[in-house]
Amino acid sequence: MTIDNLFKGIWKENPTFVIALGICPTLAVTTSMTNALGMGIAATCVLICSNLFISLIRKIVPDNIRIPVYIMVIATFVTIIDKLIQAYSPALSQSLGIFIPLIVVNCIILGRAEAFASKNSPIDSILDAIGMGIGFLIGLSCIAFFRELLGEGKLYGFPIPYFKEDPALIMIMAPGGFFVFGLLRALKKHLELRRAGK
Amino acid sequence: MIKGMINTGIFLFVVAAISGVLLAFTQNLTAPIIKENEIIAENNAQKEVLPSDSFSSNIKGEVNGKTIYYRVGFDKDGKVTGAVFKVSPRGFGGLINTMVGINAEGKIINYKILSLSETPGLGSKLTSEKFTNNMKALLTSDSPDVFKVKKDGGNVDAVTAATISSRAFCNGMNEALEYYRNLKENILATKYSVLSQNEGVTK
Repeated sequence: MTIDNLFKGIWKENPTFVIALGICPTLAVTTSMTNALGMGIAATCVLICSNLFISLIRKIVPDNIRIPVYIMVIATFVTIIDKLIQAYSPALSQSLGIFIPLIVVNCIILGRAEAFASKNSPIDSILDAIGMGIGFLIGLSCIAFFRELLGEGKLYGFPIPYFKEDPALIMIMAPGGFFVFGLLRALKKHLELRRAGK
Repeated sequence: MIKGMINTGIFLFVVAAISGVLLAFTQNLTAPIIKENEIIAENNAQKEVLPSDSFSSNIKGEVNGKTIYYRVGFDKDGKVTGAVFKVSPRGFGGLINTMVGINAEGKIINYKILSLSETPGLGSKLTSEKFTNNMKALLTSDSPDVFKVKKDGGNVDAVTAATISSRAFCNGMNEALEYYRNLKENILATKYSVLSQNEGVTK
């Protein structure tokens, strides 16, 4: 059962398309593949640390105040990581810095702490975090792929022939984000229903 | 019941206290280093916007009742090469912090956007290669005295769908030129001193 915790985040319980958590940062950063990659990696690292930590303290936290405690724990060490990166790796901070404040308010982190890490062993929680992180990264990249390609005619900043001629600007603005998000969600549901033979 | 509430309160207090101590400790540890990194980045930026051998420390100036700080650059013979200003025009999503280098003839030589919070994919393209190259071409051919986007009958190719950001950027450039015109005498009369080579000594 343990290994399933790793893979469920990628398709069956994909955080972007199934659980639909962390949609605000998703729509904000999916204007380019580079941003999606940066956000995905940063979120995965934070998720692993927070799941591990929450899982370790799960037995001593009183049930009725667990949410404020989780929020405090997550906000504290995300801020610490942010400061340390700014101080000791300014270059990394330049490229990932804008995502870190977004991660504090990313519901995936709190969502997994509450739904999984508070009830499972540290090892399972880490596997869950890795799976969810990769699922989030894939979700972001799928949306960013269409938005950057159609809205800018580029992928990872490189111009793509044909698409670069006359990009549809609306795709990198907020409405484009909702279009792509909704269509991809529907597509995933469609594939699942077909597989189930309906 | 009461006892349970007190225990919960104490637990929450302990967690908050630990968080507070950790954050204060991190802040103490990293704040000076972060500040230092910023100064290094700024010093590199000022060399980029105004090629010079050395710079003065911050000089206080007054323009239209507003107090500003600027730095004067010197070549290797101690002659004034121009001045560096920092301007922060208000864009679409916040301030566009820009460093502008103006030479002794009062022309903008180069600029560098230090930070901005414009819409990603739209206003944020002020830092894109396309916009930067267009600006470079404009500045090297005949650096204008007034910056205006083409839509307003000016000379700057605005970023597509980000006219507000582009206008703000132009305002920043004009602001720097305005500062220079007002402070021209002081800037050109700034005396080169050995102290000026060591950042912060004259403060």
